[in-house]
Amino acid sequence: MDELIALLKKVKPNVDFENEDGLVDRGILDSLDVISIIAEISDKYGIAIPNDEIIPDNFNSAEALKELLDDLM
Amino acid sequence: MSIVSLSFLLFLAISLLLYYILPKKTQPYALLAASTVFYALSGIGNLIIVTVTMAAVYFFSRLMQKNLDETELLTKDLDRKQARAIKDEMKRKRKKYLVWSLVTIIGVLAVLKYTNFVIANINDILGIMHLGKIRGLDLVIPLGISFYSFMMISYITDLYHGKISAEKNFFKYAAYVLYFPHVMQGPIARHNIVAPQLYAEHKFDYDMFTKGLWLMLWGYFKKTIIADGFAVFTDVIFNGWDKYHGVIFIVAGIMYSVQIYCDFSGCMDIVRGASECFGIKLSQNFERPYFSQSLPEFWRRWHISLGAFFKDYIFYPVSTSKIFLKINTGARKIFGSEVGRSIASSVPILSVWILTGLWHGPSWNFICWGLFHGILISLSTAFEQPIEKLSDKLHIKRDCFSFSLIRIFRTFFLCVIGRIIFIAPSIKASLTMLKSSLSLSISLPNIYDFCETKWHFLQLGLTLVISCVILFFVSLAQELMKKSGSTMTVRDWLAKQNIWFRWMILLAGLCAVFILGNYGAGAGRSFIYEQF
Repeated sequence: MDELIALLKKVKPNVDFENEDGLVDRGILDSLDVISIIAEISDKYGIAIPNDEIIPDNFNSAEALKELLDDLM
Repeated sequence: MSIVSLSFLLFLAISLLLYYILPKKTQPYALLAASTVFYALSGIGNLIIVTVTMAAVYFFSRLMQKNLDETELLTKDLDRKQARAIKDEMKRKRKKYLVWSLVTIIGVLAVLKYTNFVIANINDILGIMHLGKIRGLDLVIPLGISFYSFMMISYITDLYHGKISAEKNFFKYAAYVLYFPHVMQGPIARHNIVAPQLYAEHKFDYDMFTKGLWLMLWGYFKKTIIADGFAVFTDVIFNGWDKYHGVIFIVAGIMYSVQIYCDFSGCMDIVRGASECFGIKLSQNFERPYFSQSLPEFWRRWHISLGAFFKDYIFYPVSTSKIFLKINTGARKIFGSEVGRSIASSVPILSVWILTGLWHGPSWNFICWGLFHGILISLSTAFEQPIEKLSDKLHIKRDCFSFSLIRIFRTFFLCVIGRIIFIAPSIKASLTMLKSSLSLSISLPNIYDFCETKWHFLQLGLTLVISCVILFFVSLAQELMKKSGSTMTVRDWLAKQNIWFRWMILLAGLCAVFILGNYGAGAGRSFIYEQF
């Protein structure tokens, strides 16, 4: 989890990824941030996030993203 | 059939009557019957083309559903990782159905809408080389082809991703595509939002029905009085652009910006209101876009369903393709997170905007207009952070009313420039008009260019000023209600008022539309977006 938080902070510093659960819904992450996160994940873990998984629910919190990555690994 | 005609209101009244008196289970079929009649009135050829396309997509959707059903059976009782592996394998298998569906939909759209544009461009090249000409084709462009094609693309793509289930009953699926309030000009409805409402049984809901009528009246006010009123001026200036010079083009650009907003959003209000009379809520396509403080925000509030379509079905798939993810990572390493991501996104953004331009029609003006917005949006995302940092260094206060107002005016002005490119009859004309606008001179047109008498000119001018003031204050009220976190609409507010006040507003609205509006067959301008 810490590794993922560090990755997210690399894309978007100054965001409370540990506690925030409405990253997309509250407009903290925009579409370009989401794409940067997907690019960073692809580069670091070699995981391709499919298009049908690019939905707000999967990017609203670090926890939700972790669950998605666990599924895809 | 124009929706700004008494025949449409009569058609709507008969459809509503049948819809509510027929057995509830037959309601989707009643809607399909009404929609088929409505569509057939635009030409039987149009109906045949849309039916063939629908049938092809329906056939592939059934094959996809079979694949999805098999996937569900195969993944039953498996753990998540095993299930995902099987899901991925089955998804690969159903890709061919997606490809065939897209080839069919886009093929029909491209051939009917863009063949003559391609021929015209080839002829330009052949003309330069003195090699003769190819004859253009006499093609039928079905009503709302750009809208229903995109609805079918979203339907089949969502099905491919397993987000929705395919409709078993062809007639119900046809009711979703042909539903007459949205088939002409949208909103580009998603199946998962509209279909459950279309297939549900609806009892007559007096509150929803009257609110639907209110919304229709507001739409007629915007279209017949404001949009058609401004068209009197903009038609003359943009069609006779070589007779005028100077700032008049900016004035006409401002008028056209208000006109196109009232034309399209007015149409949306009419069709959404008509749909609510059936108990079916269509999504909002406009959210007071001229209050936007930046172009990206403007495009989130203007033609919302088209923007969402391009974001979901073009921007994300292109941006998350392997090559663009690599470009994204590389660019952020070199230029830093903020600038790098903007640079990497510029190609997908420009692709989306060129397609948005082309979607409006086969014209270089539309393509250049799309490119203009694409470049500005790419630049605004790239420089957003550096400008914020610079503002902080210069101690420029950004979270205040005056700064927001400047941003609103700036965004509106950029839209006006874009509109001059959009409306001009050619690229040369738009460049001449923009260049001429820079010279601070003005050639004042003769009022008889627009109206036959001075009295008519004064009446039209006064009507437009008063109507725009009403539009502004209603929009401002909606904006303030939203900012305060209220979910109440102006219609909700009206419903709570005294019955005399409500009737007074209703009668005033009806009188205004009947006396001042342009309506009836051939009276007003056809809708701008109807041709797209």
